[in-house]
Amino acid sequence: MRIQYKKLFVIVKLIIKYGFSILLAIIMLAPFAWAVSTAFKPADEIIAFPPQWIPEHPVNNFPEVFRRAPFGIYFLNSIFVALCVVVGVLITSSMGGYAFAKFDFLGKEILFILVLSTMMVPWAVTIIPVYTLIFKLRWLDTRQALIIPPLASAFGIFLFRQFMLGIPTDYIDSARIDGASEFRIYLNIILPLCRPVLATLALFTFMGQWDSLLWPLLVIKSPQKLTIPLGLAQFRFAIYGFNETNLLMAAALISILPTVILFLITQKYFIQGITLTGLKG
Amino acid sequence: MFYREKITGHKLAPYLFLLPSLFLLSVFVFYPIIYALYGSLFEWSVISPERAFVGIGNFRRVFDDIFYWQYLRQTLYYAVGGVVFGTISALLLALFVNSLGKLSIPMRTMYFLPVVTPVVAIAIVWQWIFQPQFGLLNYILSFFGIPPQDWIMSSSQVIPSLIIMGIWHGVGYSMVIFLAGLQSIPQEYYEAAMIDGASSFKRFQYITLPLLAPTFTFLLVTGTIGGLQVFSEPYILTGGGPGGASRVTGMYIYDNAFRYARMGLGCAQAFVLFGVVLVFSLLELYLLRRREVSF
Repeated sequence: MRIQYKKLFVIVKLIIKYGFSILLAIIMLAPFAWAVSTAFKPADEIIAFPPQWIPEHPVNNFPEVFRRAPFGIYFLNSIFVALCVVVGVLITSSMGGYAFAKFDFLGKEILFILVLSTMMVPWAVTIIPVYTLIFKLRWLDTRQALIIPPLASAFGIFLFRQFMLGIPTDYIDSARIDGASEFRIYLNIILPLCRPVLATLALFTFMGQWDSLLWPLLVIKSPQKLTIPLGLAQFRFAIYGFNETNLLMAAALISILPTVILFLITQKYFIQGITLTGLKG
Repeated sequence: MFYREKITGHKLAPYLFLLPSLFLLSVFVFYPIIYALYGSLFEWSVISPERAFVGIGNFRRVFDDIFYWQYLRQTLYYAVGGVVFGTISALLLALFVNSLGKLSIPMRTMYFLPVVTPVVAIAIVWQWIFQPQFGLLNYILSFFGIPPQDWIMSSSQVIPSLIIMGIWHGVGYSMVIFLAGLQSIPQEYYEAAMIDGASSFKRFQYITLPLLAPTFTFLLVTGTIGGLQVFSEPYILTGGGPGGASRVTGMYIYDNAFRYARMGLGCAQAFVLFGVVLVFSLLELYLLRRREVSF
């Protein structure tokens, strides 16, 4: 009799556990579901109370969204800027990290601390001078103004240095003995070994750029140069009343879909990368 | 001598490798800090050639400005509240997910989904969720017999609402970091404790918690630094309302510098914020380092 009670207890515990995890998953996913549900509703179903999850007469609102605002162009702008920044950051950070990890030079420690300390400076301090610089260079409302400032990132240098410290110096030494140039060593030996960091930093940087609102808000004025966060924000402020919330949700989904898909494809790298940053912190 | 030189490589190599990033950091971080410090002593704007020296006048204005301190208080409320609740929730979540075995991987993915969602989209969706009459939250609350809340329409509830949205957005990230920390604790410690007869709560208290302390510190400090500089979320969700109850320091600096064309004042305000960020980071580091235990 006692053994049966124990089995029952274990099963009940299991059910509670799994049930609870489903509950939590529902909580995390509910806003997405709600957005999707509203995005496909016709105008009169949006403000129904009690709200329905599944629209009675689902409507495809996406063409209307694209008609109202050129989200296709916003999309391309965002992708272009994000990719350029990713490439730039990968190149500059890997080189910088390599220098700190595998070389000894005058002022190395001080320089590294200086580089790291830039991560503590609030954006508010640097944004006014940088804006002034962009203004004086006549780079306002240009793509380079969106691409170049974000390249100044200490985070990438930190990541690469931590990772590269673990690369055995023998590889480098033997390559040097064989007469390889420093750049060759960096390109053909070090970089291929850094795939995890490259992937992680690429993902982080891409997501960060995709999300960026403040800087483009300041710098971009022309309608055709807007990035998705800007276009979305503008779209939001152009909508009055509740009967167009379905369009708003559809537009939000346009913005969400790419990064979610990117995440689902590269999950393993992503989670791995976060763990890397978290543990070294 | 020749042999030695070959092994250590080209003498200029490290400097050349560092050149691009150091150049970028100098142009976009180091020089701007100095420029901002200098600029905070003047009344100026980039669109007009006039500038007037005011010395510490701007800083005086910052300290006398009740709105600045009100917004800073609100920002602090958001940052500290968000970080504390968020990190504790993340720890609890991580503990729970860790015990799920096979199910932990899909769970981890689902909890992480909000983290990779763009903030602007999140704010727009949550604006709809918080809607007092037709939003999802009040609808769910009605099942529990709780009357509809005003959420972002109420000056007392708006910051907690922002915190809720912020936690939904960020808890997956902290959870993943805690999970990694949890999984790096050797099982032998727990086994030894169990042999000695320790209860699971005691095991948590004396093994898990102390070994997770560095992770906790890291998340608290970085969370506070980030929270104090928040901009996008309140900008989209509430625009600073109602009546400035959710206006954060970042928005105030933005307005002063770029809408009211008072860049000198903006610089001064930014430096005061910088000071606050430093104070809080150092404070947190000090308080939490004392409790850390290492392997």
